[in-house]
Amino acid sequence: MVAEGLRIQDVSKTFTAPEGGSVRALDGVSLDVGTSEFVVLLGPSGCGKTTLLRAIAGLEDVDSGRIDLAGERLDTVPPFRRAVNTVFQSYALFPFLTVERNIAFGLEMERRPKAEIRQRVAHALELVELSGFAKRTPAQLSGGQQQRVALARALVKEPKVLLLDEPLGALDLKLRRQMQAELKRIQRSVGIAFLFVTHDQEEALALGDRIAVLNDGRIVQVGTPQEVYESPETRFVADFIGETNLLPVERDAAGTVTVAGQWKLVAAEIVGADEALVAGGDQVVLAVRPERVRIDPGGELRGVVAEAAYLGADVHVAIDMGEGLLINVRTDAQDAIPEVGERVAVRIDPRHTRLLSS
Amino acid sequence: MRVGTRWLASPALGFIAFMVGGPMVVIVWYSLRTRGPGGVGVGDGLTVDAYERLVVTEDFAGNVGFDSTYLEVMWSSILLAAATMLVALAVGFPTAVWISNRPRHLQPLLVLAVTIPFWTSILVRTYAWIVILRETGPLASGFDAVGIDLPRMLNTRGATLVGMVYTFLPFMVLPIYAAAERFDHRIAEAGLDLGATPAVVLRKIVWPSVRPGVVAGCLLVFIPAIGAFLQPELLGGGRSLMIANLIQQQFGASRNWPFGSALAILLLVVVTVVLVVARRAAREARVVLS
Ligand SMILES: Nc1ncnc2c1ncn2[C@@H]1O[C@H](COP(=O)(O)OP(=O)(O)OP(=O)(O)O)[C@@H](O)[C@H]1O
Ligand SMILES: [Mg+2]
Repeated sequence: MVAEGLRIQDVSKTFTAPEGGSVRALDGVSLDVGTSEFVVLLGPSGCGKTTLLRAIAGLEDVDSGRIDLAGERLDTVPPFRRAVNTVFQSYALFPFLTVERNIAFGLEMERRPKAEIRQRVAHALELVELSGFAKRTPAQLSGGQQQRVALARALVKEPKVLLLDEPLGALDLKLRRQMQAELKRIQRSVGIAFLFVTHDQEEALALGDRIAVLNDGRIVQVGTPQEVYESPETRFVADFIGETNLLPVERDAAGTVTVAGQWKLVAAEIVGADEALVAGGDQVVLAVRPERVRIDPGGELRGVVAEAAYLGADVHVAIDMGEGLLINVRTDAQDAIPEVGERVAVRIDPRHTRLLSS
Repeated sequence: MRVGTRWLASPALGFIAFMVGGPMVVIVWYSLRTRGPGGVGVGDGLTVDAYERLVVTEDFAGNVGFDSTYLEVMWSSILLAAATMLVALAVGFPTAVWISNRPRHLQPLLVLAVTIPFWTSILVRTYAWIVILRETGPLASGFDAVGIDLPRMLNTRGATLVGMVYTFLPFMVLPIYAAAERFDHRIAEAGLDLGATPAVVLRKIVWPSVRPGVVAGCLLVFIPAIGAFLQPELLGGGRSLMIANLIQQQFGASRNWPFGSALAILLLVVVTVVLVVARRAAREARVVLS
């Protein structure tokens, strides 16, 4: 499968900033994207997502490493001969061309017969549900419609890989959800590989077959949405994707760890314990998701309710463990909501925790 | 909203009606009158003699025949304006594109530099060219010092063209710069991404984006250039008669105000035709290119 798809190996790119100094935008990035896989590239602003897409599209030369597509070297090919297309962060539609002619542009460059172009453009317009808008110019469209034109313009070329750079960034939440579903449907129906950039972790979880988490120009973890959510390998991933409690940990020679000064447990019971304890020194934390923490009178950790908020589907409770440590808990809205100031105990199942070092 | 702001245009409209429309009516009226006593002003009679004189001549024997003298003057003005426009385009286009590619903070300075000539009178600047181009001027003596003997420069068509390009160049640079500065480089990248070679990107993406600026620049140079008066007179030495100089003569030495008015109307008609043709060409260019 991999030889068929996109393979990025050890790609690095350093920019010299205009005000002096240099930025390592990509730092030894390796990633594979299968032939009809939907891979989400997730990371905070400025971590190098756009730079990686531009390197794949050929709009940016890389300093080192290589990129292959379908078993052939890609990074030495000029951008206009690469079988990848981009949906740009800014859409970058041609303002002086109608919607129809924007979409036809790429096919005209391939010198396709007129009849074929007409038919494929009509089909692409249908796919993004803009058939009635063919004769308009981009300025006469809403942001969401422009975004769909940008998508159709890239899709109509039937690239091997479609690169999407935060295409939904400009949309409001409702339209965003709607477009996410639409994108997923389109991706399944055309069977093209998507490499989709976002800094929105919910979007990443909803869309990706796999998620690649990027931070500071490095890929820190690649896995299915479940893997990166349930089993974050670093503190950054745990913190960036979803809400996480990071609890301080002390350990002794006997292989016992003490969480928040209160709860002793055997390190071997916890996922990731060995690597983290070997590597981490004093920097080790115990990560646990708020929905994995139970308020339970028999619990091991005790504290005072600092905050309790009813959120409709669930309840968010913050518990003050003393020494400035808060544990966030998400419980079912059916359960009794504790009072602020009430003393409570919480129980954490060690199987749902991870020890993380970095 | 609209209703409330409509009156804002009235001062401008009033001004145009009075300051442009008024003299125009006077010129049309003058062109249809007989010559005034002693050639000053116009007489009482109504006649189309002035217009006949544009194309017809009468010899001493009273034979009437076609005469192209004045049309040729008009034509040489058109040629000079066209040459000015082309040279200004050749110099101004790269300049404008270059400025638009400088770092953001430098661009206003460079634009200011382009407009520096406007700070002093056109008359003074044209006299400065006389000083530069004359046989004892710095250019000639500079070349003389290294043993190169320059041909006469002042009072030639070349000198007129230099002065014209010099005068009108900013009108070419500024609108092209405005269009080039607005150009979004990301759409050029989108073109590459969609399979257009750099040459095709230039033709199909960059050019349609800057074309309105080029058309505007060409018109802004061509139209005033066609009626240019100072440069042919001072730098060309009046050697090649241009339409504006001819008109000026009619109101001065030749003392024929009706004929001067008719010439002015001819110039107006030519400019109008040029505008209409340019508009149509611009629209067709858009259809062909897109
Ligand atoms: N042309 C450039 N010159 C200098 N530095 C650059 C250039 N392009 C990007 N950078 C720097 O490289 C880093 C990565 O930029 P990039 O655009 O890839 O971020 P991103 O992950 O796409 O961020 P965002 O989510 O905000 O779009 C940033 O620190 C940025 O400032
Ligand atoms: Mg970006």
